[in-house]
Amino acid sequence: MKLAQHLEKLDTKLLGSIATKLRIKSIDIPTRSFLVFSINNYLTDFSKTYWIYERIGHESRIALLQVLYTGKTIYEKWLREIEEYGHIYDGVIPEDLKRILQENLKKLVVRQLPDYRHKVLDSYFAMTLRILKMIMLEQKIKLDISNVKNLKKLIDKINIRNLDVVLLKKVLEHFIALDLMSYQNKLLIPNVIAITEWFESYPNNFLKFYHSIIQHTSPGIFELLKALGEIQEDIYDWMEADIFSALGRNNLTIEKCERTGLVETVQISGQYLIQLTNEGWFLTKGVAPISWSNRNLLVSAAFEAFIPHHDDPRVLNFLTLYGTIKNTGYYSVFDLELDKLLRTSVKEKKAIRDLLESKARYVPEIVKYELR
Amino acid sequence: MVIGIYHRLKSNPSRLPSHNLKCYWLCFFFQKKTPLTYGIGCKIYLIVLPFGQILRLEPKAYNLTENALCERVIEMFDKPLVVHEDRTVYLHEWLDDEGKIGQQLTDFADIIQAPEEVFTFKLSPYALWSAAAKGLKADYVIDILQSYSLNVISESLKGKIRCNIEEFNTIQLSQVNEKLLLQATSQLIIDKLKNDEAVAAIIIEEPTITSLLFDLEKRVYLKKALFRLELFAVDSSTQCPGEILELLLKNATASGPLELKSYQKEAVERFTQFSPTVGGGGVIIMPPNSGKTLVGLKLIETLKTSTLVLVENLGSANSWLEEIEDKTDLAHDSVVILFNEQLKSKPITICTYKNATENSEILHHLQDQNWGLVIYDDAHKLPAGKYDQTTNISSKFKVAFASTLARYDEKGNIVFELVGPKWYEVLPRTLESGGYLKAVRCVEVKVPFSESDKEKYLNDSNAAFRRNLSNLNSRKLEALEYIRRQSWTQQLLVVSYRDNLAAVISKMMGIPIIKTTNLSSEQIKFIEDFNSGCSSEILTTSVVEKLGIKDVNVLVATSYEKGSEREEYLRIGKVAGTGTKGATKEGYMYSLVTSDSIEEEDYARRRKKLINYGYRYLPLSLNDLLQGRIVP
Repeated sequence: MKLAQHLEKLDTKLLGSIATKLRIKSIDIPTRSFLVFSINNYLTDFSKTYWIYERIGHESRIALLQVLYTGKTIYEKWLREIEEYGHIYDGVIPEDLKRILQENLKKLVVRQLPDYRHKVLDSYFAMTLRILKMIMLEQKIKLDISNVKNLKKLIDKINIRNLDVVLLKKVLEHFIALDLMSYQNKLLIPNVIAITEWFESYPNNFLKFYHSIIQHTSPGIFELLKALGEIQEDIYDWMEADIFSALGRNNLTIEKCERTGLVETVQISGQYLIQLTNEGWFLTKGVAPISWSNRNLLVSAAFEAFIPHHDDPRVLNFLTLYGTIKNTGYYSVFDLELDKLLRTSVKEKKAIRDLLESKARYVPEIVKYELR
Repeated sequence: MVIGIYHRLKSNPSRLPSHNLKCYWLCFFFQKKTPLTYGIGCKIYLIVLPFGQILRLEPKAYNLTENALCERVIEMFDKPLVVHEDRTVYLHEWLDDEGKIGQQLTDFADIIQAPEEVFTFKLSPYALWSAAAKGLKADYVIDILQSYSLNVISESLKGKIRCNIEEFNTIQLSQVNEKLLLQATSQLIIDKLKNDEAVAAIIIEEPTITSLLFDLEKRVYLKKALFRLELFAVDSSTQCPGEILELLLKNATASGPLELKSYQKEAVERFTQFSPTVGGGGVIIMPPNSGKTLVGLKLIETLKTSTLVLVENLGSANSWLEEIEDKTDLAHDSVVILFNEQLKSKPITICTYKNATENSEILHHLQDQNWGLVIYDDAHKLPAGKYDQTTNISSKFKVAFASTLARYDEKGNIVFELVGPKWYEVLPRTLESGGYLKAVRCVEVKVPFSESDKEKYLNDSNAAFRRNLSNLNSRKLEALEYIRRQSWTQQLLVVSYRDNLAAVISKMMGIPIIKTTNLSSEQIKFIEDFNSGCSSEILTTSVVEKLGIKDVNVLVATSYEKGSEREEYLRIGKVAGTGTKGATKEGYMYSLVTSDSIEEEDYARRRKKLINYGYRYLPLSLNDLLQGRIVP
């Protein structure tokens, strides 16, 4: 419903009270139709949006932004102040007014940080690839999945920072459900063929992984991602995190979400900002970030491959299967191991060559030759 | 739903990415437990995501031009460093054309490897400790890293850098009444040591709450423990005054004027300036063929003291001996190579690590002398076996020379603990951009066997036979003949590890050959003519390192001493050295290697080492070479 339709339903007294709040000047005794016309004109005037926004309290502002950009709020009591300014009717902002407010207030919610240097975030998917590769290389692992101490021991062995017991358990259960490994009598046995196929099924493995790990088990994170996906129009946009803090089951949702590597947060000049990472963008938007079309992969003459942490997970997925990871951080560094490469099939060699040629900034002659 | 989307796309072809860009669309119902993937003709797939969007996967669908891609690549790699939390620093070498940033890093980091494209450095505790010994502050190190780095340096890493730098001078080792005294600046350090089982087991006394006493013979053991605990001691426990030795470098040698290059002078100055502050020890790292021996001789001249030179093998010992005789005024009888049967030291004594440590009599003899300087040549060998025992030899100064301390067992850095901080390191690229070394491009020409040799090779699995057959592959002559006929081959040196192959080449191609170091007047003339440019070709064998052949612009290697990395260095060195004329800035080394053979495997090992030092290798088939694919 549009604003005018809502206003038509109000009595003259209420209309007069909104007009007064909005400081609409009128003739001595304004008529009802005059009030409807004036309030409608006033609120749908782009230039007046800020005037109102500046007059409401901080909490009301956050509540307004939440309603506008996330579609929900838990600070309903703060909406009353906004109601007095004629923005809300039965808890709903009229469609036309909502559109105007969304467009006009966006600069308060979204900003860009030109010289920002991104944090290094190990995404859940990246961690999972390494867990799976490690398990793939083992013949069998003695492990009681329900035993926290056992899981901690395995984490020490895998040596992945930020990996916790809860995630490891979820990941293992996900893989067992997919028959990538069997689990009987506290023994984890990898199914190497199935694991290889899983790696080769990218991006289905990527999507299904997040579907299973996040959508089902952490609905708060899922909801946050969805809201961010709707508001973030540019990969370089940062959003005011406070307006998303109400989403999810508790206030830790944003922190938890950052641990997945799908969003990044930053505190700058007293502002708490949030942004979808490349993986988060890909997952929520369905479009690969444009930077993934860059040649971001580095290949050294010592047969090492360097994948930036924000790069296309396709590359990480591929090299985890064929290479040996030797360092993680800003770059995931893989040894391509010449001896091993020379023993691979023609098809595999071609696949590696194709990947390097399409993604590497430069491939040293020695590497090109050996892959030929 | 999926079909509907597909039809909309199909009905509007302009929205479909071009077919030659091979765009993929995948179909995936996220809501279902098992994803469904539909291929819908023309290599097109769709994915429907949980948020209702359609997933587009192939980046090329953006239809970017090459230029647009390049711009983004430049933007992505706009800073030369990436610094990892685990102290690793990666240098994008193409953003450091003249090698200045890499060189700057050596002041506080160790170079691990320098292959084309990405160099690896490590901010090891010892490198940082060395930086502190040179007076560098933590803020300086952090500022440099931060200003060049693509990523943010974590607070935790900054903390580690500060901690390592502040640890300088917190532990001192000295000798008191035939015992080893460790003094620390705080009780916390002593507690850390006492809590370590290995250290606790060798403590014989605690004179104060900030000191510990050990048996002198446990010095190396203790220092290894300190290394493990990432603690570093200023060590003056093996100090002795040294005998006076007057030695002067000559102004000129037979091959021309003798003057230290600026980087060699800097190495000497840094050592003499800083080493007295930490007990007289330190490490100098310079690339192969950059004149470490001359730096050593200059140190002897500057410090005016009796010197023990420890070397890897007899070849190196002879090389030192020849350099001393060639470049200094020291009397012939003042220098000796120490053998088992001849235990008499001279003012300059040369001994191999093996001899010094395998025979306790020699080690005791060396320990009993009054050395003013011990030079540890090829110091990356020090952590091997019992070689570290040589660091117990007393001396006023100790210097370790190395091309790199990188070792497969990652124990190279223990040299800092055993000898002293790194006072100077210069990278090959710095020397190349300064015109001190030529940039050498290495070309590995893969030469196939003839059919008959191939059959012989396959029918005999004996490694020696196979290696011999590969070395003598007659088709290598085709490649050599091609290279010597090219206009870019100006001064050609042909080398062969196998004397018989060298003889065949000399006979067939009429290239003068030198197979011995006892040169005849005719052979001396060959070398003089080559060096002066009067002749343009010369051929030699494994004696090449001892011959004063200079200004080579192309070297062709025809056979090899298995995987010997040293032989490869020496050969590259013959091309890299600028000699007297310094005419060309680039040199080429062609290695003719029999493909699909044991020789190829051997060569891969030596090539790998050299790649890690920063040399660039271009593998080429014989056909490619003969078709002119390589034109320097």
